[in-house]
Amino acid sequence: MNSGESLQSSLAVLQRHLLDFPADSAAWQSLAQLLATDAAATNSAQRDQDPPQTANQPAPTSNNLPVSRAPVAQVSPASQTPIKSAESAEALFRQAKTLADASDFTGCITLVERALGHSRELAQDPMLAFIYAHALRNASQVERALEVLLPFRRIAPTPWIPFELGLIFKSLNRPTDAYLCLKEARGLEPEFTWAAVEAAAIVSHTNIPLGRLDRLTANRQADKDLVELTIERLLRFGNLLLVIGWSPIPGRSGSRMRLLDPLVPAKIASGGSCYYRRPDVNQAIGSEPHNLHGFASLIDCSLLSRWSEVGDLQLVLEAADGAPMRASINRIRLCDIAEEASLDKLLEGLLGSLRIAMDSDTPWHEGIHIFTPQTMQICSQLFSQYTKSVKPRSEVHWLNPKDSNSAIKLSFIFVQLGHFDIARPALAQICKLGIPMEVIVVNNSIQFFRETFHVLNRMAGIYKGIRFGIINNPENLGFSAACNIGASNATGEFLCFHNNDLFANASNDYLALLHRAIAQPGAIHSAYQYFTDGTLMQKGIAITQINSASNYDVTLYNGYSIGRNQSQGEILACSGSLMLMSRDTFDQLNGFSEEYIYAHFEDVDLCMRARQQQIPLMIWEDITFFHAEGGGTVAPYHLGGTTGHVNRLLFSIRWQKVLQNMNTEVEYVL
Amino acid sequence: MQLSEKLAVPSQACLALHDKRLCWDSLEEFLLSLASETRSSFVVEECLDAIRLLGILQPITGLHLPPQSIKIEGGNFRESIEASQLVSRHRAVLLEIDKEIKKGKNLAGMNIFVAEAFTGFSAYLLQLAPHCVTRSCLSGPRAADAGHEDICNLSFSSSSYDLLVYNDLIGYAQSLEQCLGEALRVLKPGGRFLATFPFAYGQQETIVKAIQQPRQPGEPSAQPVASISYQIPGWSILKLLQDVGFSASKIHYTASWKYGVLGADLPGVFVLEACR
Repeated sequence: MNSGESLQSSLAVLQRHLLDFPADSAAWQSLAQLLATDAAATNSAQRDQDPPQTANQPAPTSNNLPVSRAPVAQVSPASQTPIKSAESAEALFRQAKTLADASDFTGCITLVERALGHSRELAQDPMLAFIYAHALRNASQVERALEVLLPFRRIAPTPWIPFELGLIFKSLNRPTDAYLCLKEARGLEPEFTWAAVEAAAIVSHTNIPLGRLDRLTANRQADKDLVELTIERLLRFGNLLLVIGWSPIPGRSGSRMRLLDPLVPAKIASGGSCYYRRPDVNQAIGSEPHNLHGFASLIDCSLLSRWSEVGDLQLVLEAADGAPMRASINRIRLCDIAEEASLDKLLEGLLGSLRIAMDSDTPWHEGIHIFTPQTMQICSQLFSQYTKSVKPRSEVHWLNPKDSNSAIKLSFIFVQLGHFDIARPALAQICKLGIPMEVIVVNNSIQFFRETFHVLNRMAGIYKGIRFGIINNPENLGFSAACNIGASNATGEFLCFHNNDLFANASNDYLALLHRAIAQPGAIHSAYQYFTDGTLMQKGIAITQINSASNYDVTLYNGYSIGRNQSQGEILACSGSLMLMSRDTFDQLNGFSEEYIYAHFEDVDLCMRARQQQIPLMIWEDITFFHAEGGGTVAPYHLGGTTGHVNRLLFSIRWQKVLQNMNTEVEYVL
Repeated sequence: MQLSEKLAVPSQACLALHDKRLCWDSLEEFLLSLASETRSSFVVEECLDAIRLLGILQPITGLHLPPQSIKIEGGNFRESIEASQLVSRHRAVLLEIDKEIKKGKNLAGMNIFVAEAFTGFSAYLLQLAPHCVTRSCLSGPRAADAGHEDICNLSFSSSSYDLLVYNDLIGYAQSLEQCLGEALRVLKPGGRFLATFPFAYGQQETIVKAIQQPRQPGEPSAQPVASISYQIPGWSILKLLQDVGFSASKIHYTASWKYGVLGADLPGVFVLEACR
């Protein structure tokens, strides 16, 4: 321990003593001395930042060493402590504990050291090491305490050893290590409230990112060829368990993780995994240079019957082809799984891992192996339930009254994620249409509610013939649910789903599209979309079969914009960025499917269902729209570029049987 | 270091506030102490110096919170001495809870309802008593996540709790009598009700600052009514507690720089305790 840390440790002890005995004048004097030493050390440290004038070994002043080493509570000199010969480690432990309980730490240290001098065997006793370290720490010999106890960390027959180690690390101002030890103590003994309180106190003081530190210790089994995984984070929602951590070997895409319950061997939970390299993170967490591979695995635990009992489950890594495992048994103590996460938290971890994988050069078609077809469908159902549960909390604000004399012909429905400003060009065109209509903005980003509210409120004051409404969702419910909420509140005969970053060539294009819809109300209508530089973005969406290097359990299909991609194909869908249809048609289709996670592929899904019901799809070439793509959405990190791939998988699972009988083009993804 | 110049045993007046606990059950009794308490408010600055120098002890756990972890901003020390997301009045309540623990009660085994959620206080109590129920009693975007409770119409069954904790909440009750009646109903026999609130300590009467107003036209809100009732109870709250059926009630007063509990105009914090 350097003198600065020792000073801080002594200072803390002294402060604590004075809080209990504020009238102790001797202690106040010691405090004054200590603070003076501290001030001198601070000045000295500041001087050291300049080129050193003297040798780099600071001479211990008469003040700092004795003060830093001496505990505040005066302990009886060692020579006065009667040392009885200890017949066994247990008897010795009891004697030492009695002394330590009476705050006679020097006596305790002397007792243990003498006994160790007589018998080296005693040095192997973990509880003796514990009480010895405890006394050393309280006698301000914190570094020595660490040296004594650290070898016993993994043996840990009792939570007291990691607990004491936690306190030692805390005294050494190593909050990260302290937190890990205290978590470990609580893991061994869930009712160990003090460990939890200490751990919480450390977190609250030092702002440790919990995600990084919630790692659990893996117990190595010497007789097997093992891979020791470091589990960094466990998130559980329902029967889904997301395991995030580090592996010393790169896993293969498609390799499965399995959880075995040793008490009920027949019950096995299984899930997919994805791997990635993050040398930058390795470096940041202080691991050996760049040799850890990140992994994330989503495991369906619906077959397991117990969560909360204290016990071990084994995490088994298996090869993609299900061949005998090369290695790798890790043990997860379920009592370490502190609490159930919310679905959005689980999705954040899951999609965030996928995004990290893709950002570190893992192709998306490998990354999505984190889902098995089964976990994909569970996620989708959970997301759908989640949107249903949150929907009732959406607030509806109408900014001007409905004109009772004329029925609303057209309802525009915008979905907001991020700033709404980008919709101004479209709004300016829409407001000139001169038909009875309403504009509904469904806000998925609560932080931008105020901004949008003011924009629409002003427009409601100017364009009194148009009814403006804003629906504020308390959470991001995704595109489908937002569209459906908008539609359920809309009163127009026709509904137009409209992206914020889209606008027409002229107002008349909107009117033309509406007139076509009035003429053919039983169809879905859309129009050609162009990039803002005038090149064609899309005239519809074809579906292709993906042929990639990674084999997935199901054939993957893609929605493929014809326009931006040069290939041609049968147009089966239009983009959800512009869809106009009658309310009856929308109701007949039962709206957008809310099983798609946040966004993407819900439009293709809707069009596929329309096709099954013989509802025609009309995409008009002579009506022109421009799409300033991407500018309208501010997606959080985990949603950026991930949901498209995830929902592609879901779409492929859902439409597998239909699509394999269709003559779809093959798309090669390398 | 400036503080080191002041290093000496604190004055007697400051030592008196090292860990001072008083208790009254009537205004008359309290008035006998009022003059001396008012005088001792002059040493609050010295108490703050002691906190800046020594830190404080966390109630219940006894953890030492060093000075650098304590934030003191503003002159209303009931609210402005913050450490681990707890302020003076939180710690005063925790000291009252600590009394029960010292009597041998197991906090983790008690049924506790804390009428707040997502706060440092509820998080701290959850660490100690993981089964305690925390619900938000104020409406807001996150209220529904933890479940919302109307303190005048609690959703709990009768005689279900050993301890209720209402921090700075009862002042907002639409009916104080109804709020206390509900508290009594859900408490088990022998259960305790702890509350802090801005206290009109110099008078019997409750000061009614605002009453519930109907919703304003055009107000963009999903709430059916806008609740703006607000009152500052005086000592008559003890009579009210008796009337609704509590067997005993008193006002505790804590001024303790040891535990970081200091008050606004008086140097301590008042905590109401009532037993069913």
